[in-house]
Amino acid sequence: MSQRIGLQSALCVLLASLSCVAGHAATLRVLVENTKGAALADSVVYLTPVVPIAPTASLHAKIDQQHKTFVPRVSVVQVGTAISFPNSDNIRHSIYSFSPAKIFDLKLYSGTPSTPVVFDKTGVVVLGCNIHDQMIAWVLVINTPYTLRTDAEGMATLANLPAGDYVLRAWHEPMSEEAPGEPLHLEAAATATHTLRLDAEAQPAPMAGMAP
Amino acid sequence: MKQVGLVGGAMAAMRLGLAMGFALGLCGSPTGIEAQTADSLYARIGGQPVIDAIAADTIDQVAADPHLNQSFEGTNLKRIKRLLAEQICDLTGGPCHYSGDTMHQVHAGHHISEAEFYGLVQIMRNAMLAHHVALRERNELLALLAPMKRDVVEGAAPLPPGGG
Repeated sequence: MSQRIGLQSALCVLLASLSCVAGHAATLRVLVENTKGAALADSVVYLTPVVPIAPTASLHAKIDQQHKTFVPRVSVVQVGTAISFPNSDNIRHSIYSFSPAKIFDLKLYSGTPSTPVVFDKTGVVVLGCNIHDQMIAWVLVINTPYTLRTDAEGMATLANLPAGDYVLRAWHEPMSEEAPGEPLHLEAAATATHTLRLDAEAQPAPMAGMAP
Repeated sequence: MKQVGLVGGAMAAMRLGLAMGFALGLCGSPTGIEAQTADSLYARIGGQPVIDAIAADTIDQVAADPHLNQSFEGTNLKRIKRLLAEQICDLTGGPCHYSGDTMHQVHAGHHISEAEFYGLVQIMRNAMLAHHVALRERNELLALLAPMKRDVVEGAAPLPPGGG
């Protein structure tokens, strides 16, 4: 925190001709569409500062198993988050992922607590169950607290953003990898607008169990 | 009534199998300690191809039967067939090591009834018949499966010994 303020103060000194007030937040409005131009509701928009900042949210999350379904279907967590899999079903599950960002497998026996899994790399993690092959979930592991889901019109407005340099991305199921990032610079007290196109199909309705 | 007949028939088959199993000293050998020789049950059944076919036919028929298939909803049947064949191979003295979960772990929470258990037994018996497994081998295999009842059926009492 103090490093960031120090950097901004240094910039103020260097750019003395501009009125440089540290902390005047920027706003970014993002529209997410698929390649056919259709709005993608419930896509994850995330804005990663070029200079990484320490995670601000809780580093614990939960993905339950209910009626042979992962709940929530999509989780967005910061790097280093420990995710627990409580298995509310009475039957066992055998979950796994082959995604490079987190390769693991874990048996979940009803009534037996299992060890949380730490997601220590950024990227898209797809989860399945060996026993119930319809079960699927995604974990998007990101390195920023600045993230929102798009609304029914494919729009997300990120507010209270510090001015600076970022990389903007969006994700929508069933993308198995992150999109290439779009670099952008946000000016203090300004509103910027950006459109992202993803190679993903628009879902007919928000999926049950998505985290807010 | 058909259910009762099914259960009765399968129970009789298991009791006979268990009796033969006791007579042959096979019960209590869950890891298939018979040598992998021409005399092993595995070999006498006809080896892996027959075991694979019995496992596949059994699971296909159970999964298609509305009286028996509740707990199979949404499951990967191909995987179940593979593990069932592996388990039978291991139990009968074949060159396999069963790598799946225990019967208790597999069935916990599924509320398997006695009728469902015997329903599967009957289907497996029919699958063995269809693949020309002789009476002696059919009963030996059923004797190996009988002790699983207490781990498969919810709240089950162990199968009574088939001495009578």
